[in-house]
Amino acid sequence: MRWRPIALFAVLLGVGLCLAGALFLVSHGLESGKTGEAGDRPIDLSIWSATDTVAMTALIEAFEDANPTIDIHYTEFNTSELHAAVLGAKPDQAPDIVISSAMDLQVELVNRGLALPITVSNETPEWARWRNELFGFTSEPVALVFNRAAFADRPLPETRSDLAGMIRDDPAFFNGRVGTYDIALSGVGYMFATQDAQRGYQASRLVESLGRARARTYCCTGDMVADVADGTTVLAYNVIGSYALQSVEADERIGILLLSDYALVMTRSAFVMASSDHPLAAEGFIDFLLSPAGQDVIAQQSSLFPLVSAGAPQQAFFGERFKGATSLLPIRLRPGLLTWLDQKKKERFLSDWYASIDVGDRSAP
Amino acid sequence: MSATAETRPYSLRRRLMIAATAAFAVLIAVLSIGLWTYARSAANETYDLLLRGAAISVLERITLTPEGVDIDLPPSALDILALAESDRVFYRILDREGRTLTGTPDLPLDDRLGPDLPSDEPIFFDHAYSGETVRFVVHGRTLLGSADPQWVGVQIGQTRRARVAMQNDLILKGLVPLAALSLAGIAWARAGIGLAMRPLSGIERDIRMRQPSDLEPLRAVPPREVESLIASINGFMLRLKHSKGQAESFIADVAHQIRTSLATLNSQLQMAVETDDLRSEAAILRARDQAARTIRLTNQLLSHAMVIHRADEARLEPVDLALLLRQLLEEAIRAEGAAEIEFAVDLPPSGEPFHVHGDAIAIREAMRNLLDNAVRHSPASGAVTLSAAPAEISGRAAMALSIEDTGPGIPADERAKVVERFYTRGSHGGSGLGLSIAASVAASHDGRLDLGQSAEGGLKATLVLPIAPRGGTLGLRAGEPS
Repeated sequence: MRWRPIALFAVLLGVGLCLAGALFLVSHGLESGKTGEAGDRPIDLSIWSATDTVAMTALIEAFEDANPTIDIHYTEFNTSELHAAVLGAKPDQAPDIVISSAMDLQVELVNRGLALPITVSNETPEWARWRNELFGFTSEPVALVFNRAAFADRPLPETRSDLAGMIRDDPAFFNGRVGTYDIALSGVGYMFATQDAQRGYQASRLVESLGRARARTYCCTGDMVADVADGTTVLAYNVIGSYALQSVEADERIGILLLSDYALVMTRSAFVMASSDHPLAAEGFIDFLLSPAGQDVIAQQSSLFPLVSAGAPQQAFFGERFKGATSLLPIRLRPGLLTWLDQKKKERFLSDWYASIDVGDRSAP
Repeated sequence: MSATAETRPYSLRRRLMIAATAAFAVLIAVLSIGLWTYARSAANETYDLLLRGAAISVLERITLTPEGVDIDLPPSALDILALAESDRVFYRILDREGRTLTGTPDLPLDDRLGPDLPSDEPIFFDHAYSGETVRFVVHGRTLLGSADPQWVGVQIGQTRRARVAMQNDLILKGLVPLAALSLAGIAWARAGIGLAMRPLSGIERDIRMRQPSDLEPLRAVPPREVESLIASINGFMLRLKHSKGQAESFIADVAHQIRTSLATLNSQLQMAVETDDLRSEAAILRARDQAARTIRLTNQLLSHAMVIHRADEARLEPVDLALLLRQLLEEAIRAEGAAEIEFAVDLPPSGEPFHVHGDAIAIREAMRNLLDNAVRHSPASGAVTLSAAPAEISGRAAMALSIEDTGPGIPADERAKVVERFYTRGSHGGSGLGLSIAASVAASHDGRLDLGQSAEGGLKATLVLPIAPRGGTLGLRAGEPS
């Protein structure tokens, strides 16, 4: 009896806290009810992806081995097709998971509110995750691939400034023998170029130099590396380090390095569609991608680089594989990437870029 | 709810605690509302700065060229918004007609923005968009160029997640100390109540530890708030003590009077036994007289006790005085020793109100005693006059019932004493209770007993009774000190 007022107060306080809690929950958007997946019935998990299928195969097999009731249907797109397909998909056709190497397009989809917030058990770097919705699961530096024979008796460029200077000083050697992405054809190439531009003056000077050297442009890392290998070009600027490294390890004619002023790092990212019928299974897959087991599969059995390498900082992981010491500049999975998707911005950037780089018979759009 | 629960005494502490708790609860509720409002506006103001900064940095990069509006979206704009790590962002650039020049075309506009898009001042509003509440700013600028001035606006939206997080943080940081303060306040109130109640428990202990006969005033020095309660208790104890004293002295008086009377009776019987036959008859007659006096004394004691008792208990009712006087008179005429006495009655003219509100039995007892006195003190062929007349007492209408005799009367200096119990005068004195009984009845009816001199030099005793007494029951309390 004596404690009744205290109890009353406690009840009032409790009610107040509950209200505050409810307010908190409501304001944070109630986690949509994740219904438990029904027992042993096989679950068809649909993944739409714009990344290397071969690289993903090992991951998918490992996940299916660990979760026998889950059957993954993997559909491959290129990045811009994937973006359009996701936007155009009816809810019943939409995939459960979207994976892409086009960070900007992934951010764009998540920014539209298409992603489901999920909980993952492993802490990954803050730049490679956004809103508990979009999760990067690899980290791949942007590198420079060179022909070993061509650079046998000349120094390798160490910085972008070096490279621009070399091209300017020896136009005969470099003329028509430098490769880079055609940024109108490759979304990844466009992203690397815009990120370079955002880093400042050296990048635009380099683009001018590439233009003066009548650089060749490519759709893909593979073609670029092949041309370096057979001596058509002496170097390729801004290639995806992971793919290139695979070729470099198989081919003695070429080498790979990270420029020491900075090296961009990209990540492949995945998110669960808000419309997914199997949010728990989808969450489980992404959790697996980020888990030590998943990261280990990426490191050991695919050409991709893990986001979190077991026992060693990322710098050391890259240091073992690439020439040149550098500071890594991860491209952040943030809405800042949306700037470069802006129609006007893109038109302007492309026209400036094409004005610098003569793409042979291609004319600026 | 059971009967015991209903009659259980309430707890002052509990009531005070409930009141304090309720007060704190109300206080917290009010402050919470204030806190919520403050937190919301603080969070909005903080993050609105980001929105506005982003809008300004976009506007800065919009220029009017001969080819039209040139838009160069700065990466910094969205990077500024990305400072709110978890929020989604939306933007578009629009012209005066609301057409989207670039960005997301379906962003909602606020009703406050009229058909003509606004001035150059930023306008902030919340709107539901893409499944969340989004905070938008619309900020415009008039571009000057070679052509006509042209207005362009930028609309930027940001989800509220960072705002809500900040708001909740502020509310929590405000509420936690507030709740702690309230708990401390209630604890203090509890302690304070205990402290304030301590004198009461001292008083309670004082009363509990007393001997039943100890009616001394409480010695506790009470706090001002309960001073009057203690004063009342002490006053009550004083009255109780007084009353007890009176009862004790009454019993002692009664015992004394009856013993005296019985001793006299005993000695007269003794004499009758011891003396010779001739004188024994006279002695037995004296003894019979003494026994009669003893019986009368006992009757009067009973009458007195009854009058005092009835003063507490009796209900008031209209008393027909005419009937009462007639019955008294009949009784008196039949009584022994009244044969020679001449009785007269003087009543007001018929039609006058001739009744009082009172206890008929008590009034009759008083009048009977007065009449008895008059008869006893009158000489053998005396006259006794009963009269009733309208009178006034303390400004209230009253009836005066008088009995006059032709006896020796009472000197003025003794009249105050004769109404005291057992006060008797000389050999003709009675038990000393008759006038005392009349005086008690007068007091219990808010009336009075006047003793004066009659026209024939005897005693004129007047019982003045108000026609309608004040209270529902008779006013006299047993042994109340006057």
